[in-house]
Amino acid sequence: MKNLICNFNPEMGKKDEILKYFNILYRYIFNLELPTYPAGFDLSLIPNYFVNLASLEIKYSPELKEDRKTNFLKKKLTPIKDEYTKFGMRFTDMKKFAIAIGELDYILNISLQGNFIDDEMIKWLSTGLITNHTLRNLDLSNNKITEQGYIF
Amino acid sequence: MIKLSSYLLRTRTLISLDLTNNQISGEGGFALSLVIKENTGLKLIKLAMNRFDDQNASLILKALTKNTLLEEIDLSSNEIGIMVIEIWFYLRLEDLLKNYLFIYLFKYLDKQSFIILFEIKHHSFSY
Repeated sequence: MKNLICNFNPEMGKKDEILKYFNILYRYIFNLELPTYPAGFDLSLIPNYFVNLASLEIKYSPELKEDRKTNFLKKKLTPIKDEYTKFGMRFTDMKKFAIAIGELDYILNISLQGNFIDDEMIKWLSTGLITNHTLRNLDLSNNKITEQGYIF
Repeated sequence: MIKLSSYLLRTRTLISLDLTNNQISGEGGFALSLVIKENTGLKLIKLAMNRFDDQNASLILKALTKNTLLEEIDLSSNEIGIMVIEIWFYLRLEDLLKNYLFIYLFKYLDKQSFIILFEIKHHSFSY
């Protein structure tokens, strides 16, 4: 399932295959791991689809990104500049995620390692976290949090 | 950071918090010391590889003396001077060792690793 979402490409037409698996399994998905944050992935949709989600892990791994970069260079599909903007979490994504957190009723672990989360994003994340009452482990390592969030 | 700490003050479910490898300093350290003082049920805090200075460190260590629930805190690889560590661990040792299992303060000075590790259960500490 993880590989299916990560390698998901709208042009490939694999959508039906994913949905087929998903409709059977969606009640039994407890862990969601995304080694790279997929471009254009709407985080506010997570509570609609993953009903019993207990742990969520979203990483930004440079290795995978470089693989893709080299692949793109070989195929000459897009220049590198676009590639940088495509991956990694952005401010708008975090806004959507903050809204989504309150609706995840069974979440225990959230890990957002190395997503370049800065103070603006942590502001939104923590406003979302206040509405949640089940979270136990929060992992925000390898990010860009500073003291600047203090100044509004 | 202040928003995050306002969440941390309100929550009663969070057990472990990992903020390794960020750039928290100054006011962020002050906000975290307030969180630690308030006894919010946190058992594990990892603050390694940040930018806490002497002032932040002494605030956090002062807050640790008032906390009774925390079990493990990691302050390694920060910009904490050796004097602060010495003062707190020789003069206020009894206050600190009431409740804690582990306090990590790995310090790197002049390319030599300087390790202070306390274990209450075995009553032994080593450099």
